[in-house]
Amino acid sequence: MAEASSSITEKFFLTLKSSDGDEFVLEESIAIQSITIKNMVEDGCSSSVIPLSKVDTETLIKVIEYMKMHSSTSSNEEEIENFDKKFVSNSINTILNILEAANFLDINNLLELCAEAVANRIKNKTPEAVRKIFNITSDFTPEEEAEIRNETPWAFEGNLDHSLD
Amino acid sequence: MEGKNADAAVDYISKLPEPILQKILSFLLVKEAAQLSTLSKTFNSAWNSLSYLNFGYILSKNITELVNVVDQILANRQNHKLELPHNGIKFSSLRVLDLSKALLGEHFIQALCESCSSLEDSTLNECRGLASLQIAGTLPKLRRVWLACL
Repeated sequence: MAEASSSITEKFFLTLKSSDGDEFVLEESIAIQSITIKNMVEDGCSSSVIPLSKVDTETLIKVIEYMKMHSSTSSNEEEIENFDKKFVSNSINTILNILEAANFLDINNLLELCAEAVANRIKNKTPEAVRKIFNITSDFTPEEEAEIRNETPWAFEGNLDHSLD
Repeated sequence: MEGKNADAAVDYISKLPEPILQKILSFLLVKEAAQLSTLSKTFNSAWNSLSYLNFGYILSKNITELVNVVDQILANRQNHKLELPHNGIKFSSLRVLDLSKALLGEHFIQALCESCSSLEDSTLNECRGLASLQIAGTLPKLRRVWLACL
């Protein structure tokens, strides 16, 4: 029986390597919130360093911060809610990088959080404001753009916010 | 590593995979998502196959115009098999249907059962006009019906 209880409390650690070559040691129980990492562990890759070639150091630090908060048994609902609120106040480009990483790492609740945060910055804005906020270049000719606009004329009625906040 | 300080002018959002861009659009109303289709080919393509459509109460138009808009949007969904026969709309691929603040006619449930054979999940929130609800056996895939404040 002592054996069983010791195997439950024993902690396993994984080493995650960012695209910049930086290594992070993380408890396995925290890291497997990422389904991608969980699958790698199940396939027997956990003894060596896990390379995350699509996630840079800055983004990986944020993702680890998120996973730690969301797996901690000591953090209550209110703490997590406050953490999430602060988390999405990062710059829009940081959020987009985290969103891409959450997709690659397959962390669904992080993906949802960031996707909603991006949507909140788009809400009630004109297309031109959205274009400026996200640096989106048009690859349409003016004629093509007018044609697309005419496909959904009802979408362009009413007032919208021109500000970039 | 792409320069984080010099990246103010980088268009990160257009580099996201289409399903992720659509995930973002799914938090917006149909009107907002449709407007963004003019931004670029990436956004136009994401809009044209967007399968989560929240119509909200954006269209304070008359009912005929609303129906036309909904029909047009559904007909344009490129990745979904939506049949529009003369005798009524048939949503054989529709899996989730959420309705809020709708006035449902007495034949609503019958029409729902006949036209939405793949329906798995439905929410009716603050809907009026429903005297009873009998679905038994007509929707084989239905797993959950959520009724609130009827």
